[in-house]
Amino acid sequence: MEHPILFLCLILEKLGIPSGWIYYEHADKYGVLAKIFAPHMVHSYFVCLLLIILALIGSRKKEFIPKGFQNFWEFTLETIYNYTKDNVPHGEGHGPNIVPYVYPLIVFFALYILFCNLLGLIPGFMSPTANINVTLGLTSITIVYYHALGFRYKGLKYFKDFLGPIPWLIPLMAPAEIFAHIGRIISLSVRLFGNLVSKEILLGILTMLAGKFFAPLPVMVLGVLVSFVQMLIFITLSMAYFSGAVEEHH
Amino acid sequence: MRNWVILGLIALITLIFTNPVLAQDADKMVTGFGFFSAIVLAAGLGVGFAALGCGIGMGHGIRGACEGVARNPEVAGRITVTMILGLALIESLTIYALVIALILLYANPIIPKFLTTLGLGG
Repeated sequence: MEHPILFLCLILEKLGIPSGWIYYEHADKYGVLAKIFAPHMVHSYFVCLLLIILALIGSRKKEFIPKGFQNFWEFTLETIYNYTKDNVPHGEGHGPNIVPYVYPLIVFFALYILFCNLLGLIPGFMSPTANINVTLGLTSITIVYYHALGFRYKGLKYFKDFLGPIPWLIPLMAPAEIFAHIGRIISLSVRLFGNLVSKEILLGILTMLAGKFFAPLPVMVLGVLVSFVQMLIFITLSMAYFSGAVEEHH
Repeated sequence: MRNWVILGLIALITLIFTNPVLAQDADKMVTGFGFFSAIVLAAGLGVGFAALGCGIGMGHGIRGACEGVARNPEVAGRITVTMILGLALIESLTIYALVIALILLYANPIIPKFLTTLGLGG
């Protein structure tokens, strides 16, 4: 496959850092620096930097009646908070309240994935989430965290739930449960990766075919929708896994 | 039905006879409907069939959502959110097929072995 032009990697290359797909493919020759400054990593750092700068601008001067960036951040965080509270057990009835443990992670997922997805729509940039390593990393955070939450709230009983309700069904139930949990890793990571990489490949092919007639423009409009929907799906499924690990099975 | 069978047979025979793969190296490579044609055909047909099934599933989902909104327009917002979530979950099945197709086309693990078997290096 041909390699697209990436502005951030070009800038880093001018500074003498081996950053780019060519260096990444021959990483054994250029050392660990080529892996640290691989294009998806560079764009991931860029998104993190962007989010930190936006947050600093928003929290610089706090007013009682919010304006500008502060208003934007308050609206965003409140929307995500309400959505989280709707979807995970928040202390009503006998269920535990896991909103304080889950909410920061959900905010990170939402903002990071959304900005990563939207970054790929700017020509000369790529989506970090169009790389299987990044999505697999995000998924492993979710997987490890929901097992930890289940262990924290249920103790060893959480692992006993894997064996099913009836003792003589254990040889049938245990492999099924384990496969269900492995399948979550694959489905959650490959869904995000596949959607984003298909968008990127479609944009590339349309640009090569009829770039001067603005053929990729409708796909870009579709890409905005896909970015938001995939972010929503990732956080919704994460919250479903969190609440499924914490709630009692009947 | 018979017409379709005949059409399919004609298409298959056309594929078999009209595809010299790497004709300049014909003594080493298999000519005709060979290994690489099979990979490309599998990628295309796989995504096509996946899109067929997912289209039917999405149609059922959207029909249910439309009927729900028509009966009770007040909850249109929540139904729409649920519908979009479900649609994206269905759509991801097509995306899995697409990923498999991309692996077949761009990162196929079998091609080096195949070339080594033929003695072409890999």
